[in-house]
Amino acid sequence: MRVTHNVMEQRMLANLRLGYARMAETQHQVSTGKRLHRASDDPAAVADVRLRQSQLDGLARHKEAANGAISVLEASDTAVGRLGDVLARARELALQGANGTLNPVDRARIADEIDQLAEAAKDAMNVRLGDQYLFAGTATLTAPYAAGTGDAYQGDANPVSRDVGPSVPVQLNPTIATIPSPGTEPLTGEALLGGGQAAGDGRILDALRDLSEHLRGGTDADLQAIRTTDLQAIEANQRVVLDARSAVGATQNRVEAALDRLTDLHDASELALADIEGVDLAEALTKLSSQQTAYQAALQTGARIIQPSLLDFLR
Amino acid sequence: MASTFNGINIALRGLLAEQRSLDVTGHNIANANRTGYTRQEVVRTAAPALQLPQGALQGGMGAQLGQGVEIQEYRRIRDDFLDLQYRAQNMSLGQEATTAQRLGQIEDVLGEPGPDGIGAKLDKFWSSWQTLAGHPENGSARIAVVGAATELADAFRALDANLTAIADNVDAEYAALTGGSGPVAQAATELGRLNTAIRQAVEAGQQPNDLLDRRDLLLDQLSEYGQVSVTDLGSGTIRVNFGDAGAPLVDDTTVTWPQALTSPGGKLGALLTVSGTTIPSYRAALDAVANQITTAVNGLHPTPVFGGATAGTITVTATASTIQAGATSAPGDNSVATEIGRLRGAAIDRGYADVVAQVGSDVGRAERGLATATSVAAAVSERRASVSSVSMDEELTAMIRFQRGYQAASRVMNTMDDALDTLINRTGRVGL
Repeated sequence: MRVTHNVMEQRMLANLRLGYARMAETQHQVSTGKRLHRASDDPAAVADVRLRQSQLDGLARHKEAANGAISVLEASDTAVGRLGDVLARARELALQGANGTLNPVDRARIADEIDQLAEAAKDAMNVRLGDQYLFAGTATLTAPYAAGTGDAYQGDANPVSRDVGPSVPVQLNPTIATIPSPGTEPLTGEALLGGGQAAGDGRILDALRDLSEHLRGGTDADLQAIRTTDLQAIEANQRVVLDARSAVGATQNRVEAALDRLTDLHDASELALADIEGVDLAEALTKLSSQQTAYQAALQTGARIIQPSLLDFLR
Repeated sequence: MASTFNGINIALRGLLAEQRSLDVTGHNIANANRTGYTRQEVVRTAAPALQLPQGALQGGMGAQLGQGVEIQEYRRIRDDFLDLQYRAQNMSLGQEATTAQRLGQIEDVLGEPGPDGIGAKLDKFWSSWQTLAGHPENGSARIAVVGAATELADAFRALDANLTAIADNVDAEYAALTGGSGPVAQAATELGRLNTAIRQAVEAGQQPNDLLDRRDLLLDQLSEYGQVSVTDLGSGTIRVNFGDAGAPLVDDTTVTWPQALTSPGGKLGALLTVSGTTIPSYRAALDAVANQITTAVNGLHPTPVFGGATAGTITVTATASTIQAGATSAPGDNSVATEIGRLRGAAIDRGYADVVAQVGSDVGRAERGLATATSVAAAVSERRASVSSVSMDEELTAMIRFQRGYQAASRVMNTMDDALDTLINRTGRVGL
């Protein structure tokens, strides 16, 4: 093919342009550390990266939810534990009070303490975490037992749930077996303390109020009632409280396991994402170095070839 | 019998031929860097020989005495087939370049991957619902949901507006290129005039090399805009058909422009495709995603959250006080927020990722097409240049040749002159 200086120059320019563009692209990758800057760099990878970033974001939110859930469950466990203490003390007092040798003043004092225990139980159920009452069902802004409303429960009986993984809900107020059996309810103030003597449901407040009443009464029938029905009621409630504690504990274990899985999944996803969109620095730097060398060689040889012509040699 | 002064004529013819050749060499060198210049060369032929009658040679035969050189033509060295190839490749190049450029603009406004694209806004939107599900009593979580929803709707509308703006820009460019003062109109008018001038020259027996160069250059430039096909009409004139226009663009001296085009190829074809097919398809895909968001979220939330079902019309109609975390009015009910949070990673996110992948692969294909078209066009251009472009070394060498030829011819002239001088002034002067 007949090659003229026009042809030479155009070829050289085209090759220099290509070489320079390649160098610029590699330099951009090295300086940002990313392989993907535009959707056209690798369309399938860019779509994949988009979905993975969304997934990572979701995992972070689930971790937050799981941590929140663990706080709630720990606080619930503490509160229910206090109920257990209340019931243990009430049982002691019941046994004490059932003794026929006590005089009315002493029995009255015991009855006072029982009333205080009832208030302590209500305080335990009124525990809050942030804005949220933990034992009010979904009526989380209402105290389960309010000062002016006596023993009446103010909340509702709905389950409260949080997602601790994609479509993995956990019930923060786990369902427990309640009195009278075989009933089950989500764990609320109602489920444990009940509505007091007005409701007559045999739950903690009802049992304690009955006990206090019998102590103040002091008749033989009352003392007999203390020895039988009241003690049985207290023991039944103690079983319910134990059941509640183990339910809360089991739920907490489940959430902690979920949190571990989430953390692992989060770390693995971050690694995978960096793999897909990150650039291998060593490889990119090597490529840049060889492209630079090629570009310089093109410049030097081109300069050497396009300069001389016949004019340099004619007289 | 040859004339006495025959030799001088022969020398003169030689001088003139060398002079014209030097002129052509000078023309070539002067125009070496002009775009579209085709190198010319002098084609010489022997002048008609003088018939010497019978008896001129010993043995009684006649002979033909050479009478020097004559110039037959100033030949333009060009390969028409390469022109055809070049124009076809130039059309592809124009098409791919425009497509790549416009799709690149679309990719830029899409903004993926990046923190400002719709994808990031979607993430933020789902996260705001998940946070609300974790704190359903919290008023600032609701404000955050409305904020994220507003950003998402704004991002959709902005992208749709940008796509529309690009489409309008493409339409404007098309109108400018095909308008009465655009490059196509100007090229067509000039081609008509050139046809007239070339016809006049050809009918007078001349060869209008430079006019032909100009006409070929115009056709090359025109081929970038659309498909150009040329028919020879005789007497040097041509008919030019442009794109898929019904009537010929230039038919001898008749220019028909503007005309409507549907699929002309080249730059104009690319502009029509981008504005008429590509951008509408992207807008439709985005509309589908926006519609999915509106439908899904409004379907789960008791009151509408979004209004408008296309990317260009989607807005947020809910406020912080109308956002509900749950289906009931209980403050701890987070059923609605949980359900909406679970929409993450499902059809909506995948639909958007598909749009991004589609745009990316279209741009990638256009860029690869551009790279291929560029290198093929460069190869054909090189071939054409190899045939038609001026080589300085060749011209300088030829120049030396013609210079020596001129010197030799003038020396012949001198010799003839001396011979005649002897004959005229010194013959017959016996003893003087």
